[in-house]
Amino acid sequence: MLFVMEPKELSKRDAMLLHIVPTLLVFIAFMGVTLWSSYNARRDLNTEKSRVTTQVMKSTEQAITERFAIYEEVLRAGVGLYNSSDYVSRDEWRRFTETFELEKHYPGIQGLGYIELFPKSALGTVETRVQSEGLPSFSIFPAGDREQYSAALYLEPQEGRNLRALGYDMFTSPPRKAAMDEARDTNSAILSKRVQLIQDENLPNEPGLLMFLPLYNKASAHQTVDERRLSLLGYIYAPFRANDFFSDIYKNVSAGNPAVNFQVYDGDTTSNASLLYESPGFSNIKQTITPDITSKFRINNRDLKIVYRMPADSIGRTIRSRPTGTLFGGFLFSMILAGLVLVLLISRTRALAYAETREVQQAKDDLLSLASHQLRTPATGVKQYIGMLRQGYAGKLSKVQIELLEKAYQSNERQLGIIDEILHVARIDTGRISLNIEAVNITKLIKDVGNEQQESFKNRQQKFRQHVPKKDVIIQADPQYLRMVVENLISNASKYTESKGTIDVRLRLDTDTVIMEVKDTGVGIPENQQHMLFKKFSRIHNELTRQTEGSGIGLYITNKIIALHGGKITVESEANSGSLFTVTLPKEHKSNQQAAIIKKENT
Amino acid sequence: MKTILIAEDEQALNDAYRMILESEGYKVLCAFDGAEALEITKKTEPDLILLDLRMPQVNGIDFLKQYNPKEKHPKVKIIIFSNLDMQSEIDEGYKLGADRYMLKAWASPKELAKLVKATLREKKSAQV
Repeated sequence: MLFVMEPKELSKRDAMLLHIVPTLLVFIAFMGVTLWSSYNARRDLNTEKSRVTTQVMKSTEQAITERFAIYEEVLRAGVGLYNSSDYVSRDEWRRFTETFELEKHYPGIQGLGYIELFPKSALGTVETRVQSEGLPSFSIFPAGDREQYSAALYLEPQEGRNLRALGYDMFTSPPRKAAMDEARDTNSAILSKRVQLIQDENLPNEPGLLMFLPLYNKASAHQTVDERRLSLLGYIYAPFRANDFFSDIYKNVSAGNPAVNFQVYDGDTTSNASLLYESPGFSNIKQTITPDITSKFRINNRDLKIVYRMPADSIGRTIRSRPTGTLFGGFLFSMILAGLVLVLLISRTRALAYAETREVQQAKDDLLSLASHQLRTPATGVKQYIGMLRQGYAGKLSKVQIELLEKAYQSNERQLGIIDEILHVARIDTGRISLNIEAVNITKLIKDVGNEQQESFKNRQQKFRQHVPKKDVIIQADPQYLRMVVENLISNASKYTESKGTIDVRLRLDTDTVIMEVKDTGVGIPENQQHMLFKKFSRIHNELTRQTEGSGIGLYITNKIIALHGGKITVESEANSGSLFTVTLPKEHKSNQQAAIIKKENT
Repeated sequence: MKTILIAEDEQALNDAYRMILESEGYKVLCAFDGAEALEITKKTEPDLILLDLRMPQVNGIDFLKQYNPKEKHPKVKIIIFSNLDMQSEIDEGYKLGADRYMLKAWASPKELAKLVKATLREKKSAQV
């Protein structure tokens, strides 16, 4: 049919190509970018992890090295003192040590001491000598008969726990002896293995370390190991608590490097027994950026193992979360973008389809209008000439002649009627209708239409009844179009009712609306066909449609006009038991409904 | 005898209207275009003009503009008619001095005669 046009549905293949492929491409492209960014972010993260870790390790190890070096210098100064004098008294050693302000500048060092080596024969002399220097309870311990003794004779500051260490024979302690021997043989500062300092006898879990620097006889050579063994006089040494030492290291390093967290182990193993120090909070670190790093660290011929733990926040949260963040964010973004693209494509396709349809529709409606207007001219001509004959302008006619002319005239009238309807349809469809809203007396309108159609009621022996309120009902509507609605409904009621039926028109008022019911006792409309009622060119199949003329446009136009007025029409009907059409119209007219309805109907 | 001027470009319709109005007893002058109608009115003043709005050279509206019935020919009754009922044209016709509008397809011969009679009888409608 010419009029009816629905927008073309795209074939599945076209839909795929046009919509899904570009969308997928967009998604893939942006995901590609996302993946690449995420990969780069991950690489950056790894680089940063590396950097931070290296920095921490370097700083820590550098600090440790420097500190030990400093301590070594202190010991060396001590050796220097002995080398520069014939004899260093206790007081002199005290004054020497005080210069360093050990506690202030060298945290961890318990003291600075002098160890003297002497044979069994000198044992008594040594003890007596020291006792006379103000230490009456001094004795070499552990007691025992040994060939050679080593004892700390001086240990400054000579107070508190240090007093306990005075007189201790270092040789009886294997780790101490080993360190001392190595120092002697290499003429260098050697760190002992982990020991229990005499000062910390009551603190079993306080690891200690000792650093020894050998003191040789000034007069003899000490270039070779043998020479060194021969000319060894004693040692300058410093005991210190590992804890104090390393926690000071920690304090300094972590000031510039908050990510520093480490454990220091003595020697080659990382067991609890060899743990020298653990930085505060080390065990509490729950999340790390890498697994713990174990680094072998050599200091003064001593092997230490340092375990570094890098907490998660050693790397800024932004950098850390960037790889996953980029991935997730990029994915989301790609999805949204692809979604937008899809939506855009679909709506574009739809808009184009509709635009095309509307263009074609418009063109067809324009053609219809033109053709219809053209058709009116010859039909008007026929109307005049047959009218003239029939209305007696060309002389008296026989009954038969009148009858024939009447039939011709009526046929022509129907033709003109159809042209009218087509023009109305074309106008409604292209939205070129504007309603002239006035106050219309709908009560009078119904009466008038009823009167006009009296002849057709008489011919079909139908009864026409109207039930109207006492007071005339005034409604805001377009008089011409409202009349079309009333005419259409009443003439339909008559057309589709057998002879001797009844047509009732009832008018009533609600608060804001006017309700008009047109009821007939005719053929009715089967339920399964009711949805077609108001569509263009649909005529319900029943016995009467075959006999009666109808273009199928009337109800379509009626429905549209009612909609334009902001009203509604419904039908209740069953086959063979008549129909009831109910029209609801607002009493007052709302103008913006019009445009909206035209727009809605035409999309 | 009243004179009626028919301005209608469609030959068949022009003839039909002439026949109808002549048999009703009017004197009928025929024009097939607005220009022709203007020429005729230079020589005669009709009592009523049946004016088709759509004519090839000078259409009904242009005729009215040049004829200027409101000022120059206030006594002449004018019925504008067409088969294209465009509200804008109709409004403009009334503004320029038309008294009535008729859709050609509506009027049977008898109805046309009735309309012409009624229009001739009534006083000039108030100018809106």
